[in-house]
Amino acid sequence: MANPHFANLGDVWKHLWLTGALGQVRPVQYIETHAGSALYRLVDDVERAIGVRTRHCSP
Amino acid sequence: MMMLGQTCRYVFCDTDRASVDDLLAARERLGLQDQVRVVHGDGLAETLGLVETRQIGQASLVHVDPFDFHAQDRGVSALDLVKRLVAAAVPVVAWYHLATLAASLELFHDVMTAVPEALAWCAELQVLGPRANLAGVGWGCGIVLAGAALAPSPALTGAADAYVTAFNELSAGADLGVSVASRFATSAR
Repeated sequence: MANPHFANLGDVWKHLWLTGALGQVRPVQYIETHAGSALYRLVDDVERAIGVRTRHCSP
Repeated sequence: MMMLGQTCRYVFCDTDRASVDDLLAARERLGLQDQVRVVHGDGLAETLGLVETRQIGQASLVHVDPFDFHAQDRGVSALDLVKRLVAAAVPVVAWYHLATLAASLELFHDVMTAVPEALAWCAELQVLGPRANLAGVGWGCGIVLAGAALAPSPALTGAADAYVTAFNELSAGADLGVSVASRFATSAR
């Protein structure tokens, strides 16, 4: 697993802006220099509680 | 891949074999074999090669997300690559974590110093509170958006503001001991 910090607070902030940018630009080509995995199994711990679980509870 | 589907071509780079295998499996699962190229290797060198041979341009978007923007592999750092892409008017999204508070907005200023005519925005999230270390992002993190097409919409900035407010309310209610504060910067035009 390349990114042990998946779904943490920083990951939420990143994807909030990244998905917004992708939705605006709709690029014909998308490149990631440090892609990591496509999917991560969500685990129940403090880092994810501070990260993605607060996103699920926010507007 | 799930968001843009067949409308886009993709290049995903990683040096980690397990990540590459996972990306290949996702490509198959989503039926995007013809759209997705997965590179097991250095994404900085790969992307630099694409820009040097003009295989990417203003209709592309490059996401640069290294551990260290100054680390050099094969002579090119992530910061070098971002500057090169911005100078070539390729839209860039660059994510960083804040190792120190003194590094706040540093990447944004480095880009603007190197390419003063660039249109760029920076959205930083500083992490505060007695249990801030549990968030796993040091002092915080930020994202630089470079390229005219990436000007954040009011809906996007509103969503970010709403998240900050909601996070702080939820955190206070759950006594997490972590709070956040956003900081924004934009090029001067």
